[in-house]
Amino acid sequence: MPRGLTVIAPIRLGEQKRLRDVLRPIGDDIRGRTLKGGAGRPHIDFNRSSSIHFARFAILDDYDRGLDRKRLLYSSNYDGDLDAHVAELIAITSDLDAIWGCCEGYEGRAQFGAFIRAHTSEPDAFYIAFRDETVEDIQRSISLRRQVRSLLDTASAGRLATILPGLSGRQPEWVRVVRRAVTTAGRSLGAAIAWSIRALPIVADLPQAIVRCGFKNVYSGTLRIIASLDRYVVFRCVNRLTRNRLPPLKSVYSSVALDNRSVPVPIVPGDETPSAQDDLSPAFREDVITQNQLTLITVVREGQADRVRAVMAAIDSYARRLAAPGSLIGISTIHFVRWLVIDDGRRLMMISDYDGSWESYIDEFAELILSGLDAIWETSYGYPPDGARDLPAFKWFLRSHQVPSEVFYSAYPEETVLNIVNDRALANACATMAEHIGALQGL
Amino acid sequence: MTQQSPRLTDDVLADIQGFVTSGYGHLSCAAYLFVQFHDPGRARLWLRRLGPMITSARAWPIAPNGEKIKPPLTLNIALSADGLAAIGLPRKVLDTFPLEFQQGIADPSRSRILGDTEESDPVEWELGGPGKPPIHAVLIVHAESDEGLEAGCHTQRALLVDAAGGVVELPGSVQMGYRPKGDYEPFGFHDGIAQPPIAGIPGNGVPAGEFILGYPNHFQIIPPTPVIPAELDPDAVLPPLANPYQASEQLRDLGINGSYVVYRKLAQEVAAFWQFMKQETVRRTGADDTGHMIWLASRCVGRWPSGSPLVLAPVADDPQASDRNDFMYGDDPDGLSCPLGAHTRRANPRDVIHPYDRAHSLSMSEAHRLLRRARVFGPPLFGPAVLTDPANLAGRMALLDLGDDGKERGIHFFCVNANIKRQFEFVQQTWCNNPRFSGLNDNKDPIIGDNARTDQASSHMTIPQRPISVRTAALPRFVKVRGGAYLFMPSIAALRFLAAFRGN
Repeated sequence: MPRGLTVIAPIRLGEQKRLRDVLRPIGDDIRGRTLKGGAGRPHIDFNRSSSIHFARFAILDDYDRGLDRKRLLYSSNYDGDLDAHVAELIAITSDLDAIWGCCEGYEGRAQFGAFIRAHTSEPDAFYIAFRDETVEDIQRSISLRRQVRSLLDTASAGRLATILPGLSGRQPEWVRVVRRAVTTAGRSLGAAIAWSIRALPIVADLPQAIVRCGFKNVYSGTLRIIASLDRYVVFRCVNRLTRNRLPPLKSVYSSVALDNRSVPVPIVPGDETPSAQDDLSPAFREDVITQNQLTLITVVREGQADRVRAVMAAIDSYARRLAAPGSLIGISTIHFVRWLVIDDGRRLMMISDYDGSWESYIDEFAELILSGLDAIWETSYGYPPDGARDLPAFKWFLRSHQVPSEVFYSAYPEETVLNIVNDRALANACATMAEHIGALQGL
Repeated sequence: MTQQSPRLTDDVLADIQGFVTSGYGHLSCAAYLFVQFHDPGRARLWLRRLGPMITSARAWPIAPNGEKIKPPLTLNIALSADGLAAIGLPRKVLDTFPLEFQQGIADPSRSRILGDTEESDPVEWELGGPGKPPIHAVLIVHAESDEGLEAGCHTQRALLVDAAGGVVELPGSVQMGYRPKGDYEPFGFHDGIAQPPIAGIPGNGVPAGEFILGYPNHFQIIPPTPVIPAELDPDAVLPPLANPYQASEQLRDLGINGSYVVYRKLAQEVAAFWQFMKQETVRRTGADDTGHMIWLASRCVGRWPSGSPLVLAPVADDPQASDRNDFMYGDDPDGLSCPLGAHTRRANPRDVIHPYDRAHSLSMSEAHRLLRRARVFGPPLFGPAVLTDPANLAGRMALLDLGDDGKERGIHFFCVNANIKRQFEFVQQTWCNNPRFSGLNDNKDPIIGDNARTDQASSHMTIPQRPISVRTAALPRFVKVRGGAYLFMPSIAALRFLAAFRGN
């Protein structure tokens, strides 16, 4: 199962600019798909990695230590254990000191593992689209798909296509229909049983969450999440029984500012906002390529930390126990997403790797889990009065709390979650076929 | 989620430009006059004279015999952000328009989203691109006949002469369009069938706020509209802004009953399109069979040449079903009848967007609808009967050797939407240009996708079939963008305001 690593390390005073200047070319190398490392410029040869799914570097504000202070975020999703990941990072980074030497507490590559461990934060909620796929699995499936496709494009595949329908007609139609119906019924029964078994540990998660966050927070947080999930029978029943629904809109008008060129300003001290002079406009970087990333930091209202943790516990339990491969309550464009309640509960950070443009990603959220979005962020400063239903205001809320990444790497940048689902099905089908053909030794 | 909406009152309809609510299907001739403002004062005077001539959305009167009395000539106007600035709207007001509108369609950030690169790069455009005179406003004239259109244009040009240089027609920019008999677009397919109904005009449909500013949209919210400070409008031509979140300021609603209009001049490479179908047919079947060429082209379009949808007529064209729009893709989730990547299925995926369920697919489709207002330009390269009549053997043989005659032909694509970014740009980017739409891998819209890009992997058309799917060779770009503009189509009251306000 892939793991997630979140490292947040304070940057030495005066080293912020130098670090940005080191990171940006590393990010450009990945986007340009070419390593122009030469002339001693530090680089990270991600292409040599066989275990990193996604990785990113971003420079965050560090208001708690001072208005001019910054901290470095490194986030990755990787296969194997942390020691191997750290070893791989050391191996593919040409000049470790040039990056990490800008951070306080870094004492050279020999102590890099200890440094990483000391600055690691554990996620409060973590969703992985495919818990059983390594980078190598995914890349093998992609390669298999390409080979099958080019095989199908050949003229002999056309001839095969004319033979196959003749062969499949040997059984009477009704036999096939009955067999298919029995198989389907058996599969859905099996799936239901498997689902219930996987759901059981939630019972174990629950007391833990109640102890940590309090019963009231767990109860109201969970209800808030499921208020708009009436399409699932279980949730619909709960919503009916508890009369749980989205509150009526406070106004039919959007609360978003009318000036479309207004610049985000901190809502409370310590509120992370993209700085106006940042030349990497996020809008300009998330509109073309297949996969994109989002790093979001909001300030949690006083006294609401446990409420946020309770919501995260519910999401985490669902994501680990119940989410079907490639789908988080119907959202099927997320490869990995993590939420962390950081800074002693004062801030909430979201780190996600997703498919499609930023606009379509947020639109999809709004179509599928309105109440979930409200549950996650309604305790943060600046959240719109009518929540995610006021989509223009919700988008503004996200945009004005998003931190641009300096480096963003993906091991399979052209693959959507749905592509991976389809590739897995193809790989399974090919394996079955190989078994059958293997049984016919006289072929 | 089609909504039961209160009927838009006659007063409201009289304030909306007719172009928003009607395609003027009875008027087959169209002219588009592109103008530039040189003097704000004279431009406003010109607008004042134009105002009473603008066609509104008011319901057409009924004659004693029960028939609607349709107007024989219509006039509508839309302005670009440059145009609004040129008549003197202050920066502060312009900033309340959406960013994409302020930037304009030819801005590099919009081109990235729309895939307007290489041959479709705005630098290459004949109209609206960088280095060309800016489009400040477009006059849209529809008429029953060429004579009527000429008269309508003559009137407009006389008004421009009266503006004494304050407003000038961009030299050589006038565009003529027409609605061909049978509504065949240049590739030879019956077009213009699927149009979403607007809720409340009258009856059910897509929420009015998806197409008209100032009304609740798909998300049941009234999104922000462009506004002006009340002191700019001392005569209270515009209604006050009713938004409680902005109550601290005296604002008036400049956007209400207006809309946004996207213009794209799309040139179609008709000969190249059919040559590609022939080449693919020979590659697949070993023979140059015109029936297979038409089958393949229809798979790309999503409808047969007569317009009949593939899911209703999967095997052969059925002229009886030519105008049918009452269908879904639920029975064809794998695209065995209508391929997932077909143009009409991308532009409006209806109830199947993989991997979402039916209700969410329908909802997502509704959130991204456009009102199309297109007219064809250029002479057809062949008669439509060639494609719809299997008995027309001579015509079909000609299809095999179709050569380019060097004439330009295509579509003046206009669409009306309340949010250019969430509607027009989304459809082009996330559905048409997206190789991974609905779980596909390397497909793009074979008709309007940004195919054959040198900076991206090749794109193809996959046609699902049992037992194995067929994939075409790399697709060329059959449709090239030749011009364009993002425009604001103000309400009648907003036009009166623009004509009257005292700017600097």
